[in-house]
Amino acid sequence: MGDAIDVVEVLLTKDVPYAGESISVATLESAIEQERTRQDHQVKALQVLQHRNTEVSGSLAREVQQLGRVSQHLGQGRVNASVWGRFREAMARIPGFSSLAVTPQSVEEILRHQYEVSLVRVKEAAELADRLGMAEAELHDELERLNTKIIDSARNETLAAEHVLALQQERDRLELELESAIEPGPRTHEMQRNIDRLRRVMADHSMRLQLYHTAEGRLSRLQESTRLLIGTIGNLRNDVTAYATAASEKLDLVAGQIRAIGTAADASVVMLEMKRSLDAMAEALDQSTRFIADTQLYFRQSLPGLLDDLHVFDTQTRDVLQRNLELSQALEDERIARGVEFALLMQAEQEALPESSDA
Amino acid sequence: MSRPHDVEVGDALAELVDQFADPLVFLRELVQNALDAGSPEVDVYAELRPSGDDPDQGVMVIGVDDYGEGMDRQIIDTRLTRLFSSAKDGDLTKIGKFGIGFVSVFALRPDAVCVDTSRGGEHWRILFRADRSFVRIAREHPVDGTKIQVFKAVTRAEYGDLAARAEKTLRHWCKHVSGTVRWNDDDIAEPFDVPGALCSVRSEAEGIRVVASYLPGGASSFGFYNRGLTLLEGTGSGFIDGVAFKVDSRYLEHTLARNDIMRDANFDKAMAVVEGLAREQLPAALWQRVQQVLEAEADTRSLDAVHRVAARVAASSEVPSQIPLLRAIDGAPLTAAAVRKAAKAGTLRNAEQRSALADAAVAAGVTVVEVRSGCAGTLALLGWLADGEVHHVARTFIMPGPLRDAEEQTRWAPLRAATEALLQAAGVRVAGVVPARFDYAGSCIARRLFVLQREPLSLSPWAEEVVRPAEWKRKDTVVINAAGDGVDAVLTLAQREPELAAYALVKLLHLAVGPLPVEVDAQLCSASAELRATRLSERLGVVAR
Amino acid sequence: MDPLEFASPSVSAEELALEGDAAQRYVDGLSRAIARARLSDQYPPGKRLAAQVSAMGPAAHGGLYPELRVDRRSGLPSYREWTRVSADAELSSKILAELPPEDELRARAQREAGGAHDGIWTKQLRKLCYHRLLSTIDGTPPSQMVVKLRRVDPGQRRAWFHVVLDKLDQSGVFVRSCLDLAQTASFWSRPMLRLDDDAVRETQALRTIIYRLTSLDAELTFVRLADTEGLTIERVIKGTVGPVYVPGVAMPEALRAELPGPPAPGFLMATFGLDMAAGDVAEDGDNDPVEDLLTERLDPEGQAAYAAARQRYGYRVYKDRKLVVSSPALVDVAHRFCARMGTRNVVYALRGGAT
Repeated sequence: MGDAIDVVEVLLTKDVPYAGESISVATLESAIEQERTRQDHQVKALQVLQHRNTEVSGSLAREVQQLGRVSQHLGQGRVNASVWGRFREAMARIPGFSSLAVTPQSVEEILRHQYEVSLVRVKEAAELADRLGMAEAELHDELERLNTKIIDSARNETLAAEHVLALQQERDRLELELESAIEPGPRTHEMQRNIDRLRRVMADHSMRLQLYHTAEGRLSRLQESTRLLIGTIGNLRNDVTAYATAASEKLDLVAGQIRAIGTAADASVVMLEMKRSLDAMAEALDQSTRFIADTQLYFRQSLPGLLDDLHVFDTQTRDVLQRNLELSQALEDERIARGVEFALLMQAEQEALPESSDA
Repeated sequence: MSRPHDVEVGDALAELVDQFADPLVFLRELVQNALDAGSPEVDVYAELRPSGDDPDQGVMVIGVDDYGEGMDRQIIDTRLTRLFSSAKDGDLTKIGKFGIGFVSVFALRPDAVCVDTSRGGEHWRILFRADRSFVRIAREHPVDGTKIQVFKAVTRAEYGDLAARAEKTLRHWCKHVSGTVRWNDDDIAEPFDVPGALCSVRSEAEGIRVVASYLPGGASSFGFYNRGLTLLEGTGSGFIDGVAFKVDSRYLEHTLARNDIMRDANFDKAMAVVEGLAREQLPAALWQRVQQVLEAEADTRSLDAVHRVAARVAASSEVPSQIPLLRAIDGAPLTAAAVRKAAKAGTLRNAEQRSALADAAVAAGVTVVEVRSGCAGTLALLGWLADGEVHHVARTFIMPGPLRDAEEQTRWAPLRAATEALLQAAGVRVAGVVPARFDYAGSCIARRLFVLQREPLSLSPWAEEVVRPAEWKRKDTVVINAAGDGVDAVLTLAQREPELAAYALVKLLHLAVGPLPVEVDAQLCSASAELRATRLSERLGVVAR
Repeated sequence: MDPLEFASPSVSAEELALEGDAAQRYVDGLSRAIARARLSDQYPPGKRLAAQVSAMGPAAHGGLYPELRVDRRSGLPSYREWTRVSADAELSSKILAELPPEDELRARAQREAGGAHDGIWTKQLRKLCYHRLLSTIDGTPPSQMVVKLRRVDPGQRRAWFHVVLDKLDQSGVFVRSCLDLAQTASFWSRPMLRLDDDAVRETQALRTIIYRLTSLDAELTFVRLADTEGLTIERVIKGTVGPVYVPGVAMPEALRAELPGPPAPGFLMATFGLDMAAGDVAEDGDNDPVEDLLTERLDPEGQAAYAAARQRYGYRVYKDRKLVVSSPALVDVAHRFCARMGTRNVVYALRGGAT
């Protein structure tokens, strides 16, 4: 008997090494609530970033469109210049002939201005990509935290299950022994006391078992939505990066072309004034004309594509976000329903548990 | 080098250079010329070069190097060496106007002045003698801008003095210039601020920048600058009372004698900007500043300093109602609206800090504003907002405290009981007698013998009125100052003779509020004797039983 | 791909790509040289340029940008680099306001140091430091025009102006064009400058003329404007920063001849040209060892046209240049180079040489 009591004492006083803070309905709810609040913040932040994306991609598109208009203007102003026009322009810069001056705005200056404005827009897009990157990294940390919590919950669930089983085994053994006792006496009273104590401890750990089980499930669902959020942000980031990269590649080309324009369209024409040679004049004009044609071709080919791209990125992004938000809403409803269900289940279990263990 | 070329400088110079009160002011003139020559950097230095065998004697060299456009022969002959022949006349992009800048170097009475300069492929050295005649020599090598060296034989002590004064002069006139001015390689630039300001506002537009501030104590000061070069600085309310300001405008000019500023249309225009700032933005900035200081929980002195200015500014500008300007003793911010509301309701008080009484007053709905000891500024602002004097919470409320401990309570028990019995016997109806401590923080009743309270030991309003025992009400509790004059002796007596002690105490209470009529005294005396007899007989009776 | 590390088109024959220490050495040397040159108001703003150049180095941006492009013709950073700093500076206050606090960034960067993430926090920390630096400098874009009123004579309906245009020229050097001019209002001529109250604005026509003539001599701008109805040109001065000779950048034959061998890493000779056409220049002259007067390169017919123009408008031209070398030992080299070119110039040396 002494041995049996020892086993009971060991079981009753056993400090089960649960990981994390002690669990209760209240602490679980508060922990889950915290996680949900955190996630809600992330969703709100995503909405802000998406809004920023609409702004940034919109203004980038506008500026690039403007660049296109500049190109068109150049085409009208230069490519179709008549022989007389060329002559007049050349003469305009010769001392004494400047009253004939026609001074359209410097091609180089217009393009430079547009380049500089567009560059700021591209940088804004790059900045947005970084902000999305930070949000993504934060969500990965979040996922990591949730993982740790899920693993803890799963481990705790196992520990609780093992302990409940051990308690049940001991209680069954004592009940059997009690039934087989011939007559009541101090020993049977002692057995009954231990059965009651075991039942109490079992109720406690059974509840923990339930809670850890529930926690694991709910945390997993949270993890699921965090993953979805990461996916959405990742998509958005990829989109922003793609259009920023596309635009910056084009800007780099423009940077090179600005130099070419400076040389071909402005300076070379000015050099004509110096009348160093007719050949040089003809060549420079050809060069200038050729360049403008090239530039026009470039804009005609690249711009619509880029603009379409921007448009597509924007639509895609909006769709992805819309889907995600709908998903979020559905998850939210499901969460509430499950919470109620769980609460009822918990109540029933708590009431039922002592009776069932009596059975 | 080419053949020297001698030219005489006119005599008008002598008179003009003597106008400069401080001969070192030539540094300002040369820096001004350097800036006008398009040099954003100016290097000024001083050094003592040994001369002869006497270690105490030497030649001081003060140099001013600029990197501007330099001078060619024509400029040297027509402008550098001639008075009132400035090419800058009326040019709004230049500071100098009168063509007297360079010749001011002669105010120092130098032994020689050397100017090296290049422009347009011409390179010149101009050597001025002590008598101000000069020789112009063509240089072989170019110089970058213009380098001026002023030579003067001095003793070592004179050099130390002059160099220190030169630095001070330079810093005074050139600390805000738009370029970089170095004194012996150190940049002397100071931010365009009013030092020590409580709060400042700025305005910057093409050609003009202004900073306007409030100084602690409401002091006034002014500074006028052209491209950062000091034109006039001073203290006192010569321009806008209670405001310290600096205005830097390329349209401002000093007078010919450099001792004042030209009061022309440009001056009026600049002052209009300053006055606009002082009237609109500056008060608004002050209220923001008060809020910041409150939020930063800055030290008492800082808060009082801003409150002092705020109280003055409140008199001439609208006080925002929703910005926290004061702090309640519990640390809560108080807006002007809250203060005014409490003042109207008669529930506005002040206190240095939290105390049991102040806390009880707050709990009772009184607004208690924190006014630290010696903070006249805070008190003045509070008074302005409340439109009248705001009283200290401990002068208008009382809250006697309980006795120190149970032992003291026990010691008081016989006297309390005897006094209550005596008062009753004498026909004075009160709710009871309670001993208390009157010496709580800020107490206005510390020297009182007793007070009447409906709720003993609680917060109650205090009025300096005399209530004689005959007027005491049935609901009043007589709260007695346990540390009052004579109370301790009565308490000691009460341990043996409670009725006699009660008689003595009641007499004290009577006397505290006026004369004690003989018949009342006699009544009290006999009543106490009767009570004593009753007690003794009861005691004997108990013993007999 | 990280969009901040902009697409890198292949380095052209006209550009030099510097990385790491080489980029930093270049940036340090150039910014110090610009500061040492003590540039007057007739040059592009030295202090601002030096600060912007400093911001281009890896020490400033912490490696956010993989390389620094240098224009081989001018030895100055390319247009892309200047605009990059300006664009970054424009966004600095916004970026700084949105970045997490430094402590938090540091902690996160430290945590990710051994992790599997792509170093986003480390990058943000670098950005924080970079933009803090940028917020202390003037990042004004390379091109800007300022017009100041000098004087007004209402009686003659005449106003005098000072016009300044800063520009990274298409030839790769930084140019400031300064013009002093007077304009008389007339029914017959369209104004080049507008004066409303105290506000002065240039017209697009004036801006364009000055803008497109920056790469040519001041004289061309003078002549181009001098015949404009209602306009009197007093002087045109062009100050240039560059060319700068560093290893990898083509240098004049006369300079190469003065060097014992190919320039060593750290070698730097920065040149700062001044070219003026003005009525108050005493004599025509050319003291520029790097660039001749344009008219000297013309054929006789062209030279005659400009001689006539000088006569007609009463101006003369003068060209000068000062130099900054990376070490005192190179001062003599610079003087010998100038002597070879028949000029005498101011030469400064960086104390202790370029780092």
